Amino acid sequence: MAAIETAALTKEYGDVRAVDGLSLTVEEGEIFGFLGPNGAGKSTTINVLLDYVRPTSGDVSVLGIDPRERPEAVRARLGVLPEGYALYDRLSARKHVRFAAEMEGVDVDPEAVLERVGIADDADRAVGGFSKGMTQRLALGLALVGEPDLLILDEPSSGLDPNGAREMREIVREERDRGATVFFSSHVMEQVEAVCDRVGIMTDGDLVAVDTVEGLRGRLGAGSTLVVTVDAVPDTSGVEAIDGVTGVTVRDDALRVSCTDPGVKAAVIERVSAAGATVRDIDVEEASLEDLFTEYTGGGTDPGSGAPTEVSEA
Amino acid sequence: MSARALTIARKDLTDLARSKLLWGAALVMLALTVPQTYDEATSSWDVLVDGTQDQLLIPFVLFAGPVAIVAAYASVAGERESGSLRVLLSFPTDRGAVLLGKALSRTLLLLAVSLGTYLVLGGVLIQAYGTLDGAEYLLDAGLLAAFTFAWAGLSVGVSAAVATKVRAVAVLFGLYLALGPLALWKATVVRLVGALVEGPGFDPSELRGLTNAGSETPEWYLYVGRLNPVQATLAANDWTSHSLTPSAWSTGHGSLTHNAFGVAAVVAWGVVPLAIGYWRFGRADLG
Repeated sequence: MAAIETAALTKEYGDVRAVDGLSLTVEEGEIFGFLGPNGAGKSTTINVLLDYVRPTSGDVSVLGIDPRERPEAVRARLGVLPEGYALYDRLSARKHVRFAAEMEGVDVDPEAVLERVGIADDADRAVGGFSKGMTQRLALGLALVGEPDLLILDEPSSGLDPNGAREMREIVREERDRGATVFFSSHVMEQVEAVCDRVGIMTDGDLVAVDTVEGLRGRLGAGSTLVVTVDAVPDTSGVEAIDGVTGVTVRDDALRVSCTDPGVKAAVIERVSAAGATVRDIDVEEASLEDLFTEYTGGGTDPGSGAPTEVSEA
Repeated sequence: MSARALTIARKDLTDLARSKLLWGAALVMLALTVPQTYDEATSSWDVLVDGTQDQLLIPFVLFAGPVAIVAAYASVAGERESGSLRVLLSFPTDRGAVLLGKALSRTLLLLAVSLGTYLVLGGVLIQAYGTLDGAEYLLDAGLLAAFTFAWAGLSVGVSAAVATKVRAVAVLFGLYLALGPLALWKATVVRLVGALVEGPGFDPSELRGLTNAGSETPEWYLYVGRLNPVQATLAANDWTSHSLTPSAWSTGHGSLTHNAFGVAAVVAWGVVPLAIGYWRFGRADLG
């Protein structure tokens, strides 16, 4: 059974079609990165999974249950870090965790939960005085209460500093290793790249690609770039003649050789040496998913579109 | 559902206890009722406890509405607007339990404020007169509880039925004015029913009040008039004053049936908005 399954899911707000015929499957036990620019329909999809909004048409199943019919049964097995949430300003972090435990019907040590998300020292402070990052840590902690089978995290790294984002990824991996499925959305490619087993890229209300990070790289076509640092730049015509090399650029004392076939790297180095240069260093730059993301979501590739796709932290 | 509703209600009360709302509402209620009752009790006008006790509920009829509106207009709409509802609904519960929990906590809060104040007023009476009419005091306490519940249910129900706090306040304040000070009930509902029953020439301004109805007062009005919770409460208060201690100068306060219907109408003003709120909240997009 899939952890999440949608079929031909559509959600319209008046004239706006936020989700357009989405068919998505997230397998049990995987970390699935749900990637897309702001406004792609990621949060609307998550809102449907959580039964915060009702779809216009299509089917939804979360852990085999239709959230529209049995929201309570779905939520009993979910841990959620929603988008656009707020906590109770007057209550302490500890009281929040106690409340979550009571709602989940479990017995937890609030101290341990807060320790895990790194805010144990502030357990007794009212959260009204918390920074955005601390609030986000507490909200993540609340999602972990009750050892959920499925974690749905909407933009979990927003508001977190790099350290916090790294700790968040660490927790995501721990939860996966415990056996949970993790579904998290982001518009920041590197968050997804670092932790996800599979990635789905959404734009304009539908998925345009679903694959493993490696699989997506393979699809990129541009292949990898071999960077060869040399003592003196030789004649590069011999390198360019190799089958599988699509281009060579020279910057300072480095040759950047674009290869579509990974097997040609040895030949490239051989030719560089043969041309009379001493190779000092070799580096391989994989095509970044950021490039792929940009390619799929149309940002920057369409000269008529004007502004590039927004991918910065909101 | 009910266990989670209780958890939500308890958390809501913990939260409220830390807010100025609870204490503010209690203080306002005391300030609006105690001095007035004390003055009346110590003036030379009412030499017997009856006169003062009969008036005990009047300030509540005026102020319980606004206090309930302030205490509950944001109960659901506020959480929806801020986003804390998204966290609440991420736990194993459903929207019905959230609404039930909120209705419970705000009703309990408002009952504590109303009945607590009423208890103080009883103390003022005993202080001034050395006695009070126990049966009437208890019946009026029940009436006050019903009226307070009506405003609590109405406020929470409207808060659940609309998307924002501003809309909740607008609807509630409008209802308060329409049911009370503006006497819109008589000009609209009573006029409409009267035209249907009595014919198009019916003039509602010729009707006498529910507390001094005469033999010419049509029977239907004794019911339709009591569909307004403010009028029903005033009429029932008059009934508890005079049917327990018969008074020569007030006989038009309706029968037990009329007033039991009135109290049922008061309770319905709490239940029906909650049902409408449940229906609308259950179908709303909380995106």
